[in-house]
Amino acid sequence: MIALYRTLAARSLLGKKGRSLMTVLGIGLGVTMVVAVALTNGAIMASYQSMLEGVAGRADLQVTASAGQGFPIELLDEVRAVAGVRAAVPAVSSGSPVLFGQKQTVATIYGIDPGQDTLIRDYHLTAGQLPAGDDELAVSAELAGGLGLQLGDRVKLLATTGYSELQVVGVFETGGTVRGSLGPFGAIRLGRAQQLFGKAGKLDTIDLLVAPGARPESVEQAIGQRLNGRARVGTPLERSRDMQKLLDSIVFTLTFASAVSLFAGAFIVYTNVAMGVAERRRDLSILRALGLRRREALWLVLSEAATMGLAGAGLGLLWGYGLASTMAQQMTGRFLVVYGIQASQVVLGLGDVVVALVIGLGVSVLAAYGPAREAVAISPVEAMRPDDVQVNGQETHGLARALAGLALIAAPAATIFATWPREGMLPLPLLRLWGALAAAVLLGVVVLLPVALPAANRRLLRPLQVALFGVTGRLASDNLVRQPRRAAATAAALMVSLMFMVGIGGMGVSQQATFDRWYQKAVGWDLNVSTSFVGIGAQVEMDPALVRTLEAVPGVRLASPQKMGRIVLGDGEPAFLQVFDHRLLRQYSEMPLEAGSWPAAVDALERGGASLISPAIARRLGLGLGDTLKLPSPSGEQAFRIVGILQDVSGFGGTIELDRQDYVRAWNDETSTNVALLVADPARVEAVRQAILDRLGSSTNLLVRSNREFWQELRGYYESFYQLMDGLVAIAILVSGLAIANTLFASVLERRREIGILRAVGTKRGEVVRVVLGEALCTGLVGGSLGIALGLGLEALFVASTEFISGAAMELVAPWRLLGMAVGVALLLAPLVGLLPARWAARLDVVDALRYE
Amino acid sequence: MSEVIAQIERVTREFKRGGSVVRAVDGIDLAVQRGEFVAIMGKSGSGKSTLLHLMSGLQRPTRGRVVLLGHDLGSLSDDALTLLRRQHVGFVFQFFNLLPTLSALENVALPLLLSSVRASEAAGRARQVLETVGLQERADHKPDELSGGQMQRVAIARALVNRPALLFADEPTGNLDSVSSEEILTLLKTTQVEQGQTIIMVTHDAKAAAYGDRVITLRDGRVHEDLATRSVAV
Amino acid sequence: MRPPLPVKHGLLGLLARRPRYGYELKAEFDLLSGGFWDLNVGQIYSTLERLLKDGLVTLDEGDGAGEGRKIYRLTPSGQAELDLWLAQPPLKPRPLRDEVYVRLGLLVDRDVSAAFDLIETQRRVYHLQMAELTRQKLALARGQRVADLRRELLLDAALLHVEADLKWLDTCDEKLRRVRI
Ligand SMILES: Nc1ncnc2c1ncn2[C@@H]1O[C@H](COP(=O)(O)OP(=O)(O)OP(=O)(O)O)[C@@H](O)[C@H]1O
Ligand SMILES: [Mg+2]
Repeated sequence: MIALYRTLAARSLLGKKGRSLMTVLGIGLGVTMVVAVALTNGAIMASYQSMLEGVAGRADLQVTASAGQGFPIELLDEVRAVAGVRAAVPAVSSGSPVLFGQKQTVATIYGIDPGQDTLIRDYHLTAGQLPAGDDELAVSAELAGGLGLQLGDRVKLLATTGYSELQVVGVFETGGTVRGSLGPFGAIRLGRAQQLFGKAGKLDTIDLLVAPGARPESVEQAIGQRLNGRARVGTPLERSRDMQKLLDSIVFTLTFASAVSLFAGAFIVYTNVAMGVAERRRDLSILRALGLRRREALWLVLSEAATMGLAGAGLGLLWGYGLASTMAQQMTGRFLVVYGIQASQVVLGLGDVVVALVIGLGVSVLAAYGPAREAVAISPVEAMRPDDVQVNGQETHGLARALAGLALIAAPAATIFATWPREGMLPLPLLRLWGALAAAVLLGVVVLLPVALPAANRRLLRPLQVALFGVTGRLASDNLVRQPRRAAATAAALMVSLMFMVGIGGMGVSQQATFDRWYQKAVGWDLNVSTSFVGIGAQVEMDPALVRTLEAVPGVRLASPQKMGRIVLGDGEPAFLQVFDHRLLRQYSEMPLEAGSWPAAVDALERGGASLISPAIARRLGLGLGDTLKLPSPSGEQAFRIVGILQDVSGFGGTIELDRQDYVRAWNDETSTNVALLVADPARVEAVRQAILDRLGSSTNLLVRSNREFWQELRGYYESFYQLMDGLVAIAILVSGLAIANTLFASVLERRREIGILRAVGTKRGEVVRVVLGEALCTGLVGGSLGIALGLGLEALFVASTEFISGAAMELVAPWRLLGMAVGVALLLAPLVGLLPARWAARLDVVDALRYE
Repeated sequence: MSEVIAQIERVTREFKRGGSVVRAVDGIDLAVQRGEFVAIMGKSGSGKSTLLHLMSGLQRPTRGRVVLLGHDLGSLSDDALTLLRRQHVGFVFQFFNLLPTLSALENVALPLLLSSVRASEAAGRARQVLETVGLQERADHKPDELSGGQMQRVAIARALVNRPALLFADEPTGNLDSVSSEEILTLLKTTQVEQGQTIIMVTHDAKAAAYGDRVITLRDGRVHEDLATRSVAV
Repeated sequence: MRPPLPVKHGLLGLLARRPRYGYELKAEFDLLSGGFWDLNVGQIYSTLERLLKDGLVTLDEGDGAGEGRKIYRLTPSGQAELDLWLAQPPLKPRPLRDEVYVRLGLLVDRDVSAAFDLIETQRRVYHLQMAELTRQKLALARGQRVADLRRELLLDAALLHVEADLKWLDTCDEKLRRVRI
């Protein structure tokens, strides 16, 4: 019996090689998107975790700075004195370009105390030793390999004051507690690191071991009290939560993208199986008449679906892995580097394989189940009727379906409206709920579509088609609703893809438009100088002396040190901190404010003790204009009067702006991440840039950017993210194209005889093509218009909720280019992929087609 | 007065099946006069349908010449051939082959609409023809609401709506009971007698063939017998 | 041996509707039997004689002169006989009395090619016959008169019988061909 199944299933799969292949491809692409996104996320998160773990080693607890440049080294002794602390190991770290000959790479450099650090971390030295002298450096095998380093080689390291030379004295394996996936790194002596990175008298972390018998929680509490906001203490893993939060909007988008692809993938399976079953109705009914039981017939169909699902899953895993590797690399290169993360290794775990199989297989079987049951439910006699006059596809449960669909649309919409935050941030669980609700709305549309399609066809499509193409158009629009569920599924696949394209793309467009407007006002300098400034953060800070040198370059009218970085607020959540010398800033920029007036605010900032905050911070902390903002600092809690609410575009969980004098005083940090310059003669910007490079270029790594370049660079971060999305959009569109082609093939196959008769009564080949393409066009119109409408809705929802998610208010901008593309895809994709089935239909031999039953 | 309306000369049609070649029609010569009702008989597989397909231009012969209404079909492009069919040829098949999405009236009007006749005029003419087949009250019914005989009458109406010079029918009664068959055949005969319609009909039913003026019997792809039955008294 | 034709009961049936002149009965009978029996007037009158003798009909002399003016009427016992006959089920299968059967039977082992020739000729005859019958059927004004309907039913019977004969010929042809090879 099983053997019989296998034979029958194999025959039918192999018999229709082309379409079986298309089905497998569709499933494969669907799984690809899911797997790729999951693996990319996994790689990002894993490397962040392992970075933390690697850095933290065996540490039970870790003390870190709440903002900027570390915390005073005095805290080390204070922490050591807390009861229950067995060991406290200090470290300083910074990202830094490392040069060896012509080769250069960015590595993380740790300043350690070799004697104590081995308590926390194991260094498996393969050659040499840990640094003993001030100009000695031990490197990870990865760094050594990357630059081709040998013991005794001398490398250049970029420091706050410029390049410094160090000698390689040791190479160690990144294993054990010094984990891999960190990217290349090196270790130098603590004191030297403090000096090189402008952290004299400061530390970045203290790793703690808790004494046997002491409870880590109580020790953590004791240290927290002791530090009193001057630094933070927590378990090393706690910090990954911050990361999670920062990455959440990316993860959200990626997850959304994969859900969408899964949706589309499921549809193509659905249409394929439905078609396969329709085609095999006769076989099945003959088998049924011969005594195959319903359950057995069902099994037969399901086992076919499972086979294709399995193959698709395998394909998806393979492609997904490839795509994930590319995505992880791209994200690292263009985007994540801002957060100091490298998603280096994409690891395909057993879990991913299981997920892919479950999705590929599960969705296939699930999608097959409905049509399969329908097929075996019809009586064998009915299916074998020779003159199968196909009854017009009528929805059997039209009303129930319509109500269910409407409920699925209305209830989530109402819920979103009801839970719209009046104040405060959007809690993550609620955000997730919204995602689920949006999916429910989508599902509602999909459920409603088969009922709505015939009605829409009658009112809109048919008259349109008749007006455009006459009787062939009429036939096309009628064919569309012969199998309303299948037609709806196809249209829905296109709808989802276009919604994805317009929605996500629209977000990008809105974000960029908002950003552009902000940038024009807020960034007014002519040139910006930094040593290794990437995006909003620096890897190596700049020494105050450098600022003075820059000021002295001829043609420079003004040099204004700026500081940007992360700060962790009292509530334990991170925010973006920007520090300006407002006396200088007011000469070249104006921060756009949502509340408060700029002249008054800048006066207050200049006087000191004042701050600007973004709406996200205001919501988070429940503060407003005139209230007092309290910030933890190494010299205790600081109070700032809020003199303005910033327009925020950064989306890093909120922005806080302080004046430099306050920052230097409370944080005891005179370094800067970058220096804004105004030139005396705007026409001579290039000459000034050259003069700066001439003077300083040899002693340090300098990045000098013009206003325009910087704008392009920042814009690039948005763009690179959305470019990644473009890949997913392309896959989604490909999948929906496959779905359309498949449906049309099914449609043509089922109607071979009708096509034969049309040809016999004098329909020209071209007209047959038009009938099929007309059906495709209808699908495109329906899927396209719905997709565009939903996409715009999605964009609006995203834009409206961004403020609650990232704190950055956004203006809603219609993505015209994308809309044009979407219209193009809607109108062209379907007919284009329909061309093949249409031509096939037109080339059918008339007599063969007439014989076909 | 006789005018040859369809003529085939030494027409052969072969099909490749597996490795072997099946000769479905084997060098047939045949001429059909305007206004004739020709019945083609023969055992199953003798090549009846193939001959019909060849004569009507649905299939092209492997060898030989088919002349329809003075056109050598071999020299026509597919589109030209299609146009010829559209304007001058009607078809009736065993399985009625109506388009299920269209009503009876629309099915009948279809060939007119394809020829870009105005919709209102097409509907008017279709209604007229439906009346002649006695189905005026069923005009708005969909095929699945009609009986087999009614569907076949709609199919005949559709075949006739263009006033074709030639009507081809392949087992038009193959799927009908005897009384319905008789109705259909009488209908065909009436169009021949009253409108001078030329009809070429394939059947394996001698009773149906008896409606023809000429009964051609095929055997193994050849004409075995060509019998004129007109004006012969028993 | 030829089985008796149901002439007797046919005449009784015709007279059951109304009394008729003798000359009328010939024409009516031809209509009833579809003209297939080729009865002559003599057969009719001899049957009528027998019916008179048996007391199943009576004879009235009309006002005219000669045989043609005699009106025949059904008697009650004639009516009873007719009713009995109509109620009787047809007992015997149709007899095979066509000489074709006999001729073909004789030729099978004597001259097969002559047998085939016979089949062909006979087939032609049957086709022509069917065509003629069909023409007659088409000539009837359909469903207008009971007489037409009656005739149509008879024509149908005739057609189906000829069809059976044709099919039989086809079968003979097929089987002979198989044996010969
Ligand atoms: N498309 C085809 N491919 C292969 N062989 C074919 C094709 N069409 C017809 N034949 C063969 O040609 C021969 C004649 O077929 P045709 O359909 O003309 O017979 P027919 O007389 O119409 O039979 P029937 O009474 O069963 O309809 C048969 O042997 C058939 O198998
Ligand atoms: Mg045939």
